[in-house]
Amino acid sequence: MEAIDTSLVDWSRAQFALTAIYHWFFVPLTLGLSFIVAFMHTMYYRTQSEEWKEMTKFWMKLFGINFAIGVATGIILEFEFGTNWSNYSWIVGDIFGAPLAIEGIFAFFLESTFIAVMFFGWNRVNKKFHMLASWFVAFGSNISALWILVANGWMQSPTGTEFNMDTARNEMVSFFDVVLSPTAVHKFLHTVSSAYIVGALFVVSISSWFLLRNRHILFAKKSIVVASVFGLLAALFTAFAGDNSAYTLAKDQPMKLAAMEALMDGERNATLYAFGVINDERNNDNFTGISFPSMLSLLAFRDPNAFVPGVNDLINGNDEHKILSADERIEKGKTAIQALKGYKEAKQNGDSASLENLKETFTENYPHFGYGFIKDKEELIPNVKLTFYSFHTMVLLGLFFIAFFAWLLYSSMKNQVTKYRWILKLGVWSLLLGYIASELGWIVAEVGRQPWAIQDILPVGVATSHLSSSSVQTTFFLFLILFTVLLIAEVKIMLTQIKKGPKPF
Amino acid sequence: MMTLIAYSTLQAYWWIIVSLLAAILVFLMFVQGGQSLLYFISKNEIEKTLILNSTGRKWELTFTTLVTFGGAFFASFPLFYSTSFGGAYWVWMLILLSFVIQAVSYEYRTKLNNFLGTKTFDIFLVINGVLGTILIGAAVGTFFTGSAFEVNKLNITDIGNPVISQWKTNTHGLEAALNIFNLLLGLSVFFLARVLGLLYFINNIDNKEIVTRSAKD
Repeated sequence: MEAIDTSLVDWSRAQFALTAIYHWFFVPLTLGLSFIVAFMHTMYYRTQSEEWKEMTKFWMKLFGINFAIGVATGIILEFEFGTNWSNYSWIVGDIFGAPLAIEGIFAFFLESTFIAVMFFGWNRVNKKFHMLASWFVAFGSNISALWILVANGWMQSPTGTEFNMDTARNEMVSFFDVVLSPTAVHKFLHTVSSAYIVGALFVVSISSWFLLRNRHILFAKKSIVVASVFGLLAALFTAFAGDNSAYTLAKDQPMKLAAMEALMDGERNATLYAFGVINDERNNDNFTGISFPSMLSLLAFRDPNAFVPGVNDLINGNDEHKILSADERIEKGKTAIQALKGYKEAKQNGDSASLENLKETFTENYPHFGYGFIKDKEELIPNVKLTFYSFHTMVLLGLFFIAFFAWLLYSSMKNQVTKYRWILKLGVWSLLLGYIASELGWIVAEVGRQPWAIQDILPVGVATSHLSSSSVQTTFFLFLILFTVLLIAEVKIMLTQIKKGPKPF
Repeated sequence: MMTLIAYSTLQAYWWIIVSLLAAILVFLMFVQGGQSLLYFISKNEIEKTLILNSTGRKWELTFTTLVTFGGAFFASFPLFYSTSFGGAYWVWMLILLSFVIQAVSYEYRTKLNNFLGTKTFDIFLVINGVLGTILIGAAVGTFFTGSAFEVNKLNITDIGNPVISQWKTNTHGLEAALNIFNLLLGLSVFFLARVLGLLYFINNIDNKEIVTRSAKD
């Protein structure tokens, strides 16, 4: 039997990255804008003013255009686990499949039934019910996000499960450990709140454009107020949740943390960089930029004196801080794999005497299981430069959003939001920055954890399906073309609707 | 022994859920059946709009049932799920592509400046109606006609080639779509969906022309 070739794995990764990145162009807007629309809808319900009604209708229409393509790109991701990562699917079915199924049954139905009421309910259904439908759509889509992020959180930090040697699969022992794992909770909060930023920036961007053109002045000003309150709260919360994520990272994914900060040799009082340039990937000192001493230790371990391991520590080991070297972990991983093999054979031969022994060896070495598949320890290092620059750009943009929303809110309060044209121009382009920050966040999370499909347990090369790389290559380009065409269609429709603007009131 | 009984009960329980979802899915494919009839039943733009407005209010139900079906299958029968999806790659990929184009078409077809034009989006819907039903039928057909695949769980301990299930053909599922027996099941699903679609039109659309034409077909 021929071995799995690396180009198959790379094309499968490329395809997943492509479809995920496209899907994430649309999801944040759905998550964020749905709440803004629901809020406006409530204001209309309470005041019965035409103004709020037209605002609700305008943003709702744009929401719908975006929602459709979000659904279209989402279905691929669900099934790609089966088609391209079949080994992974088999090993984790009941852990990973469960949240996915719940998502389908619960949240998705909530969304798809109420979305029809939301769009077509004007003058047809009871006004209160109509308004509630908008809220159900908002909660429904956010609950969808919860389940899929729980699933992702589990891959980053597998808890609440046990490896069953008889079936050779991971099985769930505690549903609540999976759902409430700190990684999953922080990931959900950080991701969803960052999506609210995108939703708010969308409203700010279009409203600023109207103001620059002297159109729909009142509408735009009001929309900016709603969006900047929502955006400011979201941006502050995103920073808070992101900080918590760093704390869980230090525990579960030290390699990712090291890559994010380009930390090569671990240190006490580790430095946090604001921004800078990496001159040499494997050396700490070859770095030019602005930095804060001890901040990384403080963020990662809540202690400025704490030792933060670097890439070299994680590869070569560090006796002082009890960090195993990659070679040792690879050895232990191989032992675990051999024990599993021996266990299976012993079971077939009815050799019950050695079963217990093998089980013990396996359990002891299981935390290193995935390392046994690693051929070259260099594979264990993610792309440091990409992770570092993505992370830092994201953080800087996040800080900018806090300041920007605060300024918009302040100037709106003083009724001076139109005073500086350059601020409005910045407002128009801020949406693009929002999308960039949002996508970069996923790049940090996913590139930073390579080569793992499941942290320490299953490398991507073992998660794959047995396909020919030319098949995956073909579907990659099919998706690339189709999604790009649909994206162009979406943007064109969106721009046309925006140009038309809301109905004057 | 206790756990063994519980396990087999659980399997039966899951089997009921998955079958139920599959049955609902086939039933809801009247949307696809209706889409495939678009150009047969409608003779002008107004009638086309009537038809698409009618299926357009229900398409999400079919779509979400498909998504739920996938998730439930994943959760309950992972070995089956991974073998079928990872093996019959092309059949599933084509099914998915046909649903991707459906999801945008209803929303975008009549929007101003929609880049591809109303006609393209309508054709997307017809493609979904034809391909979606036939290929889902063909994919289910492989469960009956059998497929050449191999599962060896011990592979996970083989570092060079750890994938436990693989299709034995090099066409990765394309052959399954061309198998005559699979196609027959595909065609029966297709025509069943069309019949359901027609019945749905008769009950749902208040337009004499459409109703008589649907009844005649």
